Amino acid sequence: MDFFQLLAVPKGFGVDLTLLEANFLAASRRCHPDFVGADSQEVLLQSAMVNKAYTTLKDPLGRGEYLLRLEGGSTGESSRVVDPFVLEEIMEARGELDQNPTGGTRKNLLEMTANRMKNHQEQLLNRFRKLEFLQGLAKADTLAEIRQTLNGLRYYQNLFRDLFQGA
Amino acid sequence: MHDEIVGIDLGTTFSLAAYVRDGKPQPVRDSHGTALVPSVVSIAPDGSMTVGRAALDQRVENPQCTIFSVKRLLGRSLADLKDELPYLPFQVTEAVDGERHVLKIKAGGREFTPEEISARILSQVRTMAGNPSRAVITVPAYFNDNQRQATRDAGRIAGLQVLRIVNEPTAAALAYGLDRLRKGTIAIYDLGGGTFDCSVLSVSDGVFKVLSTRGETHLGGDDFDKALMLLVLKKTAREGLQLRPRDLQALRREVEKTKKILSLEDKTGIALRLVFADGPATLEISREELENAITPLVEKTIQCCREALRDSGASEVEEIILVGGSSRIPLVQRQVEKFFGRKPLCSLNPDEVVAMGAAIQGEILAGKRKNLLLLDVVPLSLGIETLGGTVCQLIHRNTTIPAMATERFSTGVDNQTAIILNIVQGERELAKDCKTLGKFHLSGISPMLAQYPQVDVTFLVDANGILTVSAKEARSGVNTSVKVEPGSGLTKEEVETMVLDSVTHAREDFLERSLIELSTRARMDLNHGKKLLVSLGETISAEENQRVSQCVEELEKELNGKDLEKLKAALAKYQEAMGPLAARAMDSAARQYLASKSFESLQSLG
Repeated sequence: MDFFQLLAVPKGFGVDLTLLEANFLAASRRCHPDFVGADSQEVLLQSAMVNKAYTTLKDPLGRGEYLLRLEGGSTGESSRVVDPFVLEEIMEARGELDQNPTGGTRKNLLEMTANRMKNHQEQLLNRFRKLEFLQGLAKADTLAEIRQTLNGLRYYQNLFRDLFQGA
Repeated sequence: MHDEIVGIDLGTTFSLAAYVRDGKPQPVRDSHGTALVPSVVSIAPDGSMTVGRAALDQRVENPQCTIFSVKRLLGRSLADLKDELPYLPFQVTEAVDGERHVLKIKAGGREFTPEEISARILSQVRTMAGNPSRAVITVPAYFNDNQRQATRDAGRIAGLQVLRIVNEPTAAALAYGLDRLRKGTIAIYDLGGGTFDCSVLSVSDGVFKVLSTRGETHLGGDDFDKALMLLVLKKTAREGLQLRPRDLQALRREVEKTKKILSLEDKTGIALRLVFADGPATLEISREELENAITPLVEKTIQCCREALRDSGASEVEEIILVGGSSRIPLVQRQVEKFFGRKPLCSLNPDEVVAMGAAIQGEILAGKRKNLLLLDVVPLSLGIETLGGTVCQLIHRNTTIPAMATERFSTGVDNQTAIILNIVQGERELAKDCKTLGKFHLSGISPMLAQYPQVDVTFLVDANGILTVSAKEARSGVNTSVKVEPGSGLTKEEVETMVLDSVTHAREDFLERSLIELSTRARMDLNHGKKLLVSLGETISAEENQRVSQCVEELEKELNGKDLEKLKAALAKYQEAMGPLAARAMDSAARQYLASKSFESLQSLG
């Protein structure tokens, strides 16, 4: 049973977050040790799995990585290819922040990063959808594109977190 | 024995129990209506112990042997406590057993672990609650794995089956019945005697989900007392002077009172004559002075709130709850209201609300409240030290529990059959800056080329927030032999012997006390008897004399022994032999007395 089945949401990148939350709470009510009234290893593993499924699917990056793995794509450790434009923008942004760590810079950068994250997520949505119709080399190409998009998204998410925490 | 599940708040300064009665959580109160048991244990020179209110009085009289705020020592090492020790009047040492450090408190000629002292407090609370066998015990949300384990061990030593360790703020949210908010975000500001945490929760149809938690395990009312003590020393030109333990404790007691009064009044006098022999009898302290002294500490708590709110991803909260006695301080309430932009909820007694919530959690576990569910989180990330001393985080903080994570490890050299992993908890990047929970020994790996074995190490955090680690070699599917060597705390075996210890010690303590009492009695009787024999002089027959001498000899012999039953028998025999002589002596004494008194003087005696 995969995480999508476990939380009864349609498999795909475009998860309905409200449904995910509701199904997670319902699943927790069924299998949390407090509810089952036992702390056996089996109960713990089941409940931990539900929690892990929820955490993974809620986060776009986690969801994308998980879905790519299900589709047979490569992991982030084995393929670190990133769009050169993304790398350049990230380095520029971090440099700018170092030189001028004011609230104004931070706000502009936060806005830029949020936009990029949204773009990347839209790209992922389309590419994962496209996968259904592809086979062979064409599929392999798209999987590689997804890999690269996820790598880029990771950079932007990390930058976003650092900007946010420093705020 | 009770079959209900009791909720217990094991606090730094006070502890208490609660049950749910008629659907409502209610603290267990004594005949005076008091629910709070001071978390204080005093050990007399003869080894006997007093717990709670009676022990509180001993803090000044017997400072070296009166243990308070033991919660701050629970699950910690000497290195963690270096800033605390100068302020503790009792002696704290550490026993080292291999990698494991065990904290010990020396008092009354014996050594105690913080778990044992906490168990005494729990035991007192348990007795007050009618000796239940199963309990839910609360801990600060920010307690690490060691501190949670130590709390559970203390419960075990006190003879309790600890069904769940629950975080204090989460318990407080339950007590306030905030499940009435169908959907919303709430924050809990918990400032106790020794610890602070701020947690942000979401509520949705009866499910409480902790979104984030931040805190300091060493920030609370005790620190406010310390700040106030320093202020008093400064104002009386005693700064930097070494105080005697007795004076330190007396000062602590007086500033504690002053602090509480200053939550109600603008200024008050602190009774220095009860502390120092010289100098002014009283010293005036204003609320403003107190507030100035504690502002940096309160600011620290607000910073934690800021971080917790940011981590939660929520922009604002619908309710803010105040928990812990120190949340009564007006400055604290003002700052919290200012930060969250709304008036905090404090309708329930902040000292009792946590135990009440624990009682509700007990009901949930008993299956009596199917509508409620708590989803708590890991407060601090869990990971493994990797080559070069950096940390590989396996479970990130604020992950919902139960939580699980697996990481693959391999060997570094050919034919390596064992791997040692250092398990750490904390947010820092270097392992040396995090808390080492223990060493994990993996052995029984089949000899293979380096990098070839695939050992999957699995971290599993249960609903108590306590970690267990297991491992499996992926190629062979064989479970690798695993030994976790804890960095601190007690082993399972030690806990078990302590459980027994407290039972046998209770019997030993009782026997010893009885022996002392009876010996004292026998010595008095012997003394009295000797005088009696002298006073009776020649009226004693040779036969009587011989019998009495024999009994005296036997009794003196048993007085040197340790056998309570034999001493009892010898004393009874002696008393029997002396009985008729005593009666005769009494008669003659009475006759002499009467003869010496006039009728009138006897009448006036009534």
